Amino acid sequence: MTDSAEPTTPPAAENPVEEAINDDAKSSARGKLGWLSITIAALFGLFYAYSLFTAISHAFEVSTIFIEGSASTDSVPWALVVVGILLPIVIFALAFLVGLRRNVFAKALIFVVGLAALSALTLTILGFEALILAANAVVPV
Amino acid sequence: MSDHPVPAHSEPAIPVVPAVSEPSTAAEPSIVTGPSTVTGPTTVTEGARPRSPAIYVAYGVSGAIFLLYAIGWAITLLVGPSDVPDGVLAQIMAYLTIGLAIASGPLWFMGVFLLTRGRRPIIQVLWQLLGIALLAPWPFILGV
Repeated sequence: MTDSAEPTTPPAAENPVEEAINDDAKSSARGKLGWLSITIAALFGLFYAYSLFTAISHAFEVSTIFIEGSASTDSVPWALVVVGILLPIVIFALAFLVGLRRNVFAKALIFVVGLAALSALTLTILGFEALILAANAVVPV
Repeated sequence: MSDHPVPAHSEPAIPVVPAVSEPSTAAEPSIVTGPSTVTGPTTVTEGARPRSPAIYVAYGVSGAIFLLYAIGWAITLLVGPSDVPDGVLAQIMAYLTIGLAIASGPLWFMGVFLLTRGRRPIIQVLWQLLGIALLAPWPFILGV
C-alpha cells in the first residue's frame, strides 16, 4: 500500500505497482493502450460524462427560458447551446489523443488539465448566456 | 603503390566478440520508458537543449497572466451569490467545477511546463498561448 506513494524512485520494477506502470508505459510507447491507461481514461471519462449530462440538461433549461421570454425560437443562442454540449466530448477526445503515447502520470495530468479547461469554458458559456438574457431583458433565472 | 590490399584488417589481434552486454545500451530504455519522465530530471540526458533565457521570460509572463486569470475566476465565482443545485452529487460536482475553473490557468501552466519539457521553445510558447486564449475569465472581464 505504501509503495504507490513513492513513484519517483524507479529501481528495477520489484513491486507490482511499478511493474504495472512500466508495462503500461511500454505499451503506450508503442501506441497501444494497457489496462492501466484504459482504467485512467475510464475514470476521468466519468467526470467528462457527468459534464456532458449537465450540459444537455442545461441546454433544455436555457432554451426554454429564452423561448418563454420572447415566444420565439430565434432568440435562443443556439451556437452557445450546441458548443456547450460538444465541449465535453471534444475536450475528452483531445486529451485522450494528446496523452496517447505518454505514460500514466502524464495521461492523468492531461485529463485533469482538460477537466479544468472544460470547467472554465463551461462557466464562460454560462456567463455569455446570462449576458444575452440580460440584454434581451428576458427574466433571468 | 596506391592500392594496398593488405592492411585493411591486419590489426585486430583481439577476436571479434559480439558486444551483447554493452552497458551503455542498457541505460537507454530506462530513460524512454521509465515512469518518471514527468517529474524526474532524466530527460535532460536525452539530448534536450537547455532552456534559453528567452523561454524563461516567456514562462514568467504567461505565469503572471495565468495567476491573474485565477484571481479573476476566484472573484467571479466566490464573491456574490451562487445558485447551488439540489442533491449531494450535483453540489459536489458544482463545487468541483468552481474549484477547477479557478485553478484552470495555473493547472494549464503546470501541465505545459512539465509535458513540453525538451520540446522546441516555439512549441512551448504556442501551448501557453492556447491556454491564454481559452481560459480567460470572460465573466469577470465582461462583469457578468
